[in-house]
Amino acid sequence: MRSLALIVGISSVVPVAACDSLFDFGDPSNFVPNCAGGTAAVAGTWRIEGQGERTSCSDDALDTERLLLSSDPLRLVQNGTDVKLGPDLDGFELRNGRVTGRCLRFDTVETFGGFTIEYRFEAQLDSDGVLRGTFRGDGPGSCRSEGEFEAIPADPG
Amino acid sequence: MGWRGALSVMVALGVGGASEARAANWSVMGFEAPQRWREDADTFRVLLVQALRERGVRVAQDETAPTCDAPACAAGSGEHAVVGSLRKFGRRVLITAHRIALSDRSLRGTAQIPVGSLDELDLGADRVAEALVRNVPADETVELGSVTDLEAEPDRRRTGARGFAFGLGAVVPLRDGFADLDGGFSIAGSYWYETTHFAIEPSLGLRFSSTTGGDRAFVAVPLDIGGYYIPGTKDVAPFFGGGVGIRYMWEKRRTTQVLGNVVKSESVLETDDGGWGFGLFGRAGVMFLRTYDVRLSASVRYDVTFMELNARENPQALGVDLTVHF
Repeated sequence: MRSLALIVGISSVVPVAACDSLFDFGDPSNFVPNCAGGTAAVAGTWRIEGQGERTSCSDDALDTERLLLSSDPLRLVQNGTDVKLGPDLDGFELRNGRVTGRCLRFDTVETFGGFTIEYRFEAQLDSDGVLRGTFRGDGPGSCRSEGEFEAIPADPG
Repeated sequence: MGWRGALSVMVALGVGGASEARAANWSVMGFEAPQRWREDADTFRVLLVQALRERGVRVAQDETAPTCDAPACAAGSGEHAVVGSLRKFGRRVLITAHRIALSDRSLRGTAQIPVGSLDELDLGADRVAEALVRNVPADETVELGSVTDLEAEPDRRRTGARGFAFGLGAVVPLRDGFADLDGGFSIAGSYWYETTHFAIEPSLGLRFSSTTGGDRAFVAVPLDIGGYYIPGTKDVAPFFGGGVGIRYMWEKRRTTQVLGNVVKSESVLETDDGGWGFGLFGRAGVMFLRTYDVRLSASVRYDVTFMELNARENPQALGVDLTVHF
């Protein structure tokens, strides 16, 4: 795990804003999506922002109660209820993308530096066009993460 | 002949000389001395005879031997005669003794040693006997119990201005040490010893950030020794130099770890780290009121400590100090 710590990018000091909850459901494990409604249209480019915690890492330095999640723009292609990633991204996969009513579920697997992190995202499309929901993650190593996120259209349409 | 060969010969001659001296019969004549020291000179002769006998030399009993301090007057039974004198040398007594071969009145050895007073004639007799027997200079015969007051007295030294100094200043970190802060403060106490053109200064300092409660902070405690050249002798005198030291350094910082390339997870990590390291510094400044007891100096210092804190190597800093020298 020491080697993992070495590959972790340690950037310069950045101020961290107070982490107010993105939603009002509190504990992400209490989130129950409201999927009622027509099939959501999620094709397009989205950018994920979220927050949560990471625990159970064999390297204690990776455990944190202030985990911030972000993403590069992700272009989703929708075919009925199936959702796939548009262009391939090196070392990154989007799996099991599926729309159920207003809800979207998808998994991501990313490999970097010999390590892998998997996330499971579950969200509902709100009336303002933003996907809101929760994520759970495994990796790297024994780390477990969970939290809440928003997917904001980066390039609507 | 190399130096080892030469040394072997010298050792052999020395050992041979001592053996030859012990095998011969000696006479010890009276030592020349000022009249007021006559009795002390006779006592010295007795002490010298005793010291020679303790070293295995056969010395003839002749308490009536006349005084003599030169080869020309050397006389007595046996192969060698010891002649010499006690002379006043400032406040000291200078003991001079010669070993003379009576066969041709040739000089075989001389021992000369100053002692602080007549009270040390017993030490002088021991040292002279040892030097004559071994045929070595008297100052090579010193051993515990035979050190004279003059030898125990430290050499006189030149004096300089000395006193404590106290400084206040600012620290400006360079590169990425000192928790990446822009600056901090410093205080230092030192002992300043100053000669006409040179000064030395052991010092203990404290450098710290303006706050230790925020995201970042640092504390450094340098224990240094510096040396400075002071070319000028007037009231305004520049100086420059440098030094070495050991430092305890501590810093606290907040870092962000990023995992992933597409979906990135950032975690904020607050870490503190501390330890000891070896340091170097260079310093240049100007001393004001140099001709007075109390002086003031303003200086700039570059400082590096060879250590790693929070994965940052060799923190460096500039310092600006204002120091009062008492």
